Amino acid sequence: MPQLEKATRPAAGRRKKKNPFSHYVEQFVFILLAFLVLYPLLFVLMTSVKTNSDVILHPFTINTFEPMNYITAWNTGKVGSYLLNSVITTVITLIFQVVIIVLAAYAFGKLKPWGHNLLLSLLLMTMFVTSEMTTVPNYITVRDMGLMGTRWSLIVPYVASGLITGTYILTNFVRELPKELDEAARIDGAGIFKIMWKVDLPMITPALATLVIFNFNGVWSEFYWALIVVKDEALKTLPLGLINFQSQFTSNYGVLTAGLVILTVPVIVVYLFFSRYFIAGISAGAVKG
Amino acid sequence: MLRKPMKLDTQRKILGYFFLIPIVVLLTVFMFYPIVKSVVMSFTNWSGMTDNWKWVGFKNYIRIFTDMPEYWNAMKVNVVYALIATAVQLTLGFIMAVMVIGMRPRWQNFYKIALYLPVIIPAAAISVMWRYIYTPEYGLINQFLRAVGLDSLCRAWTADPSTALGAVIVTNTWRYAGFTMVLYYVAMLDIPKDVMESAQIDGANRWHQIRYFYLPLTRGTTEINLILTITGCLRAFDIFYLLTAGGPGTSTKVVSMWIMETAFQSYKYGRALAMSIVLFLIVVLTMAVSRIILTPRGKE
Amino acid sequence: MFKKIVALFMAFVLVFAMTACAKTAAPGASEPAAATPGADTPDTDPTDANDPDADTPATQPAAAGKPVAEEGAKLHFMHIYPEHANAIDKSLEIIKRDNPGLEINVSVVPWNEATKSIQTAAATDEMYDIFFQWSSQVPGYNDIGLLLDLTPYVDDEWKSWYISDAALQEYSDDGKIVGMPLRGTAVFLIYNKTLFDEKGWKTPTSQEELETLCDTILGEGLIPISAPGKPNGFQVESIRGRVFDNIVYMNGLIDDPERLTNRKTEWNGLYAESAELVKGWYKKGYFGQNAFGLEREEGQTVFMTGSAAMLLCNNNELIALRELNAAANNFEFGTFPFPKPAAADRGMFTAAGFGDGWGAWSGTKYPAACAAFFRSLAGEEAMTIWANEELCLVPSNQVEYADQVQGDFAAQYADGGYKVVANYNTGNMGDLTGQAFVDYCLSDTMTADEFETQVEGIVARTIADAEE
Repeated sequence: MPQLEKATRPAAGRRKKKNPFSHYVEQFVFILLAFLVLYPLLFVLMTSVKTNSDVILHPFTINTFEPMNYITAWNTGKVGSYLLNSVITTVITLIFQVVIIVLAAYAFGKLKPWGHNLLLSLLLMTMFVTSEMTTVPNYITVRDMGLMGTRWSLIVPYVASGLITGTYILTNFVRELPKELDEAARIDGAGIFKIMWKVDLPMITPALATLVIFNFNGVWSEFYWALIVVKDEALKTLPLGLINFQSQFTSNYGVLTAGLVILTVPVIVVYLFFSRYFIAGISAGAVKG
Repeated sequence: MLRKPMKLDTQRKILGYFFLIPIVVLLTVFMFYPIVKSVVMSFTNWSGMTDNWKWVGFKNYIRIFTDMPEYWNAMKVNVVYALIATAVQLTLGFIMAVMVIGMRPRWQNFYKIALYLPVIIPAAAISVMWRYIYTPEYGLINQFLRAVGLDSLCRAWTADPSTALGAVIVTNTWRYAGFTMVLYYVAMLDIPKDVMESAQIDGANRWHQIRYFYLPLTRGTTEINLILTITGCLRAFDIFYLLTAGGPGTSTKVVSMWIMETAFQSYKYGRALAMSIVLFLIVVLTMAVSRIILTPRGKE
Repeated sequence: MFKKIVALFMAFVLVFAMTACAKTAAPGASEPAAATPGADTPDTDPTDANDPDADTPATQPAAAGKPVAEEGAKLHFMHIYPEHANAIDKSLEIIKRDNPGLEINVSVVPWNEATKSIQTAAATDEMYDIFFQWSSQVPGYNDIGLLLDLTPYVDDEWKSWYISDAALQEYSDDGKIVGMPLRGTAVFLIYNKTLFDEKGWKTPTSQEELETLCDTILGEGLIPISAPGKPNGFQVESIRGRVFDNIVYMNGLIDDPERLTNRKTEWNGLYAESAELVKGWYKKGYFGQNAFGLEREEGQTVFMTGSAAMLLCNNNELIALRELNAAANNFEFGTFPFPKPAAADRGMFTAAGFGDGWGAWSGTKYPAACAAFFRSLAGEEAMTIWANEELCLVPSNQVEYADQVQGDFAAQYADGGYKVVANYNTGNMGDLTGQAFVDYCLSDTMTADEFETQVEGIVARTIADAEE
């Protein structure tokens, strides 16, 4: 270890000495990029504390201060009651999704039963279905299963819809895992499940974290299926509350954006939490060390 | 001695089937079954609402191929959009990932969050933001141009035939480049750092790093990003609906919009399903071709 | 350890296998849904089959008596007006008071999901009893047998409440009343009265005067008419429509039966004339430089900040306009009718219609209850709430508008009539012709006649498609 450190230090020093200017240019470009990316979000935040007239008349300046928007959004959008539903639905959906996806990715990536390539290709086709194709049949299916009027009318289809993209991404990562660790563990006498749990799973944690974040957002802000399937006030999810702020001829942008901020904050929190898992060198360190 | 390894291998393969049961069952019920149902109904003149429909054979499909120029014009829009948007998004995402991975941890964290945020913003928020950016009289872009004296460059970004598609591409890239970046970033995490650094000691600069390490070692991710992006663009709807509504005229009207109109305005759901299936097949074909091209020959 | 996991798997598999089996056990019929009760082919009159309480099953409107809701009726009611929750709630109170024991279950959907919502509900055998529909959807829905025939229930007293026969006509198809009007939706010209007074401008009384006025306004460096045109040209296209109204009237074609049913596919240059004139206006800058890129709110802002002297808006924007005006410059605004050509003896406003309305499902178990629902809604009490608390233009002649501008809108409706009411499903025809108009305005090579031919082709194609 100490040997390696010594080797890297001169390189680091050499790197810096060569291009200080381009380094700053790089930094500047990136800050600019971050600003360009973040500005629209800032705009939404700004809009959420203005009155509707202010938004329409002066979109880019803040001339009024109306934090009441959040209160209105909370009440009219029934955030209080819908929030819990969204949380429960999303968490349960994600748990199922993670389990099923990890198993499938492991099967496609490591266990590779006969015909796995064909099967994967077949399953990948389902990524391309359109809502016109699936809405009515799935509604009838869910109803025939007796799930109508329960949370499962949302959860089960949500689980199904998030599986294939996640499996595709995760399979790729599993396939690219270094095989040496597996073999080392197998030589040490570990069984399949021990290898999976102790060795492979920790290595795909970054990819898994990406998955969770991506699917979380998909389920959390899903609107169309929820609109069709949920009739019971007690089961409605957050996005359904947003209906109340938009109409054909008028929209209250201040309240709408406040509602959107309320909707988005949990997703951001989840992202912040899971992005901790984008840790470098778990696999690299383990192999060389 | 010869028996044991075989048995373990078979055991693993059978276990593989077990692991696949949940996903296969769920996808069969909620995806394949609707696909089959849709194919069946595409051979009818179902209105989408009532039961009084009849079989019409291949009529809907024949119509698509002989009497629907708008469908193929829209397909052209989708294809152009897919090609440009994918190229831009993948390049940008890749570059951002390369840059971010070389940064110090604190900056890394900031950029990881900042650049990914657009991905998780709900569609309604996107529409609010970008409408106010593009709108011609009071929009941000035009106001900025006027402020710096470049009045002549002002235009109605989403209503001008020459810039409408570009405007959609910009918004789309803004929205999803972060996703591409994160996928690349996570893949790059697996690249052994010390190998990279020893190469650096040997005099490799950034370009060499990219060419000999980052690019080849993230090939799988490139395949994923490429396929997800292209297929997403071919089926695009939301972003076009929110920004241009197919305008001006029909210059940015995409296939999904025609399908929607056929289904929900003309009440010809059977025909809309046929249009969906044709789109579906085209996308599947694209994906199959992409996978064949991109999958390295050595893969089992 | 291995065994435990296998056991867990068996459990998992069992659960999913059961759900899969539940699906395969259901009949593998290739119909989209179980037969919807009472939904017949369009030819038969569905109300006869399942209406225990109808006074007279015959379809003679004269013999219709006041509808009485069935015992224990439960209605599923869908609307698109979260912004008018006040009026909806009060209306429902009135309806329930008039029909004690009637249960109403309400669903709100966004206005742009209404059709999809109806489609899914109908296809899955859970159709709403009463739902929102646009008058333009009536022929299409009726052709597939979705709508309840209300003719037997609309008694004379009820009919007398409407401002004109046309209001119910818009919701009739094949001689049957299959829907109910709720409120008018049309495009009006409003002007900045304060500005006009300041500059000494007069509201134009002829189309030529309008053009002169616009030139004058342009000379002052202002935009004459803020006309949001995104997407599909919308307000600019509606001005073309108004010009076209006048041309058609001048050419004696206003009551042409083909035109009235939207089946005219030969205009011999008249359509081109309207397009050419308005394109000229666009090129001159009457609508500002960016008309086709303006969205509704931006168009409002341009007017409210004083950059434009006039605005083309839908009457349902009135509430928003009042709010904006109060926050902006708080000037006085008014409306004037789109002027007639100087040579004409009167103006024409064929688009004066009640586009927002309701329908009832042909397969409903409680047709009389649906009719009773509509009757209460059409009464003076309910209509006044919509008119004065929500600033809607209602089809009732028993209402007095509190808002001056709204009252002026209603007065302009008196210039209406000869509305084009298609007797086939127009589908996306309006969008297509609008898009063609935008293409024409933005093109440097298309001639007006080519544009007219294109529109005629669109109409012909839509008719052929709707009738196949």
